Amino acid sequence: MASIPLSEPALLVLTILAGGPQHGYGLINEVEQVSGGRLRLRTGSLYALLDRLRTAGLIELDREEVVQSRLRRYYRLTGLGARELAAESERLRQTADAADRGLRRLRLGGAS
Amino acid sequence: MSDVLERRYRLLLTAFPARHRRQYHEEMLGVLLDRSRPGQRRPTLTEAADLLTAAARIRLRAMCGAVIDDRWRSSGAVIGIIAAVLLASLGLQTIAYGTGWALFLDDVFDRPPAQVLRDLAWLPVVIAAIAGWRTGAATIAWLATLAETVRLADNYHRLPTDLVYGIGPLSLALLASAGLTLAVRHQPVRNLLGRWKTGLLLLAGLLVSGIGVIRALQVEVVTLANGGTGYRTSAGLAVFNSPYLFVNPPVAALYLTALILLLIVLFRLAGAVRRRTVAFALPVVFLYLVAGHGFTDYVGTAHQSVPPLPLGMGQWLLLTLTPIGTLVPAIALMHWYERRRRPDLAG
Repeated sequence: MASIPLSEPALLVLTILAGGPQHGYGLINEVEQVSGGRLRLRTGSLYALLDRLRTAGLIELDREEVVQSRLRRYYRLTGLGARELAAESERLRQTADAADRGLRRLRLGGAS
Repeated sequence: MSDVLERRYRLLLTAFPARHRRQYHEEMLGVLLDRSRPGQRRPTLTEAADLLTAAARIRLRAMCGAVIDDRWRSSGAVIGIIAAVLLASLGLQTIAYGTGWALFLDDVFDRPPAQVLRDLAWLPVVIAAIAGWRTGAATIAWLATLAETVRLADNYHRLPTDLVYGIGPLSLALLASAGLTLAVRHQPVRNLLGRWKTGLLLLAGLLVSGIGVIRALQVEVVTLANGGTGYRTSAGLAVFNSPYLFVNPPVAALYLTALILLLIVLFRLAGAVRRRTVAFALPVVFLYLVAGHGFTDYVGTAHQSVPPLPLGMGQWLLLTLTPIGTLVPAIALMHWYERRRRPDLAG
């Protein structure tokens, strides 16, 4: 399958699930933490995203439990999801490296 | 926790499509209630807006997904590359023919650089599509199509007949651009077609390009009665009884071989993709036929008229309605056929 660039919320959700299965409520909180409070996912947006990631085969259902008579589902990363995340991570690393190189050159140019 | 709040959340969740509700309704309700403040009686404005927007997005995606599923994307990619190869080959054919004239008879045939550029415009599209650079292929294709549209529009007031000759290639360019755009978020075309089908398609393109060389070689230099030199391009023509039927055997053989190669590529595709590819191609085929055979009287009259005779309302309608009038029944027929054959696969 061709790798497709991921949106920031999708990347964050996959990143969190790479650390282990998580449920919707937990994902909302962790996305906010990992992004340093910059990104706050709401329930509607989160479930639209989870549905898209499940359809694309990047995540799957891990288990279900009922807590205080409310259904809680845990999602986990699939093999394909892990590969897509690795590809995206590599893309971001290359971009960051290029940015670092550019900035180093800029500083050197400024110093001379 | 207030029952009123739960009821209001449930009401908002009905905005989601049934499939989504079946899968996530209870789970979403749990998250919404977990995130609510103690004593909260109604959803916050932000939460309500987010739920409604997400529901609308999911519905829209489902609608688009039904129209543009993978089979349409695949056939878009296939027809896009076929049309691009054809346009690139026709451009190369013109260049080869022109170069032949220029080499042998340098005083009579000199193509301006803008025209050569126009003839070469589709070559980078083919290279980009085969190399897997899908966005680049679609972008260059749209730029070439736009340039051709501007050229035809600009020429229309001076030479309205140019539109009749140019509408076929323009529709082919539109088809290539639209097909390659559909393919942007899909598999690269060489993965989709496989190595040997891609090879056959390129070979068909090469044969069409080669026709330019054959035609250039067929040009004859003749000595005129007054001692001057004339040029005859009719070498190799077999004239049949019908006054309108001239066949150039080597050229016809190359076109026929290219067509057979193209048909082999088409017939080796999955049925659903093949049917959609044909449905995409039919409007262009019909437009070529209509422009080629339905405007002979107009072209004859327009050439003698000063100022140039513009197209009438009926002629414009014919040119615009032909592609729509072909595409809609073709898609309807295809859906009908698929429902009849495999009701579970019709989409």
